Amino acid sequence: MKVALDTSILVGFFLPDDLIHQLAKTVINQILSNKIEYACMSKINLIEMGYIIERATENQDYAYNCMFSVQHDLTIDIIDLTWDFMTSLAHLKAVNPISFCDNATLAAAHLTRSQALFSREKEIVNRRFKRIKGPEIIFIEDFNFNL
Amino acid sequence: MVKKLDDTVVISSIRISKEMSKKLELIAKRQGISKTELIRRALESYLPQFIELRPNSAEEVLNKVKLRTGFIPKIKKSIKSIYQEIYETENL
Repeated sequence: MKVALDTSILVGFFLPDDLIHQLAKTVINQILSNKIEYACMSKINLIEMGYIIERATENQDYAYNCMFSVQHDLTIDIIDLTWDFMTSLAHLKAVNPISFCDNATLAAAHLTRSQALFSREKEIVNRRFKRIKGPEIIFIEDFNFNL
Repeated sequence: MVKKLDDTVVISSIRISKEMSKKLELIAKRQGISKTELIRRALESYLPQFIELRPNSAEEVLNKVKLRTGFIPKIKKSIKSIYQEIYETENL
């Protein structure tokens, strides 16, 4: 299985009080044990993760260390802002009525032929997901952990 | 007889003071090993502190982040309200 992680998955992982924390921990364990064969995240989503964690905790140092951890501790492929990524993201944002960063998750999934893994915590986005074009979207709340 | 070195072995030469050389010689003699072996053992015990291995589990990752920061902060603002801010107020 190949997944492109949305910001919400890693925000949930790094914040133990978050609703999806346990689910996100399971996903990270499956990435580290190679049960999920490939996981990626775009640089755009890594930035979004940093500022959401800082806003949620009001702790810049913790947000920095979480970003550092994604880059250095986890076996997650960080997708660069290459020409292919930028043009995919531009197109997806043009056709999808969801946020720029959520489209960045879709662009990462599209480029790596992965499924885009989101959390249902993003209810506002969720309402619009029915009209989304691009790669397949799955939700961590429905995730089949028996890989 | 010339012993053929394994291709994973490299020869390194180091410059040390006479005093340190004497100490090495003394300790090696006491332990019944060569100076080279003593240096190798010393490096093996000294170097691991600088080599950070990748964590094997989610818990280890969180512990590393906790160690770097000193603690794991509590959520002061709900994630849901932050997403609402981003999508509705900031229109991103």
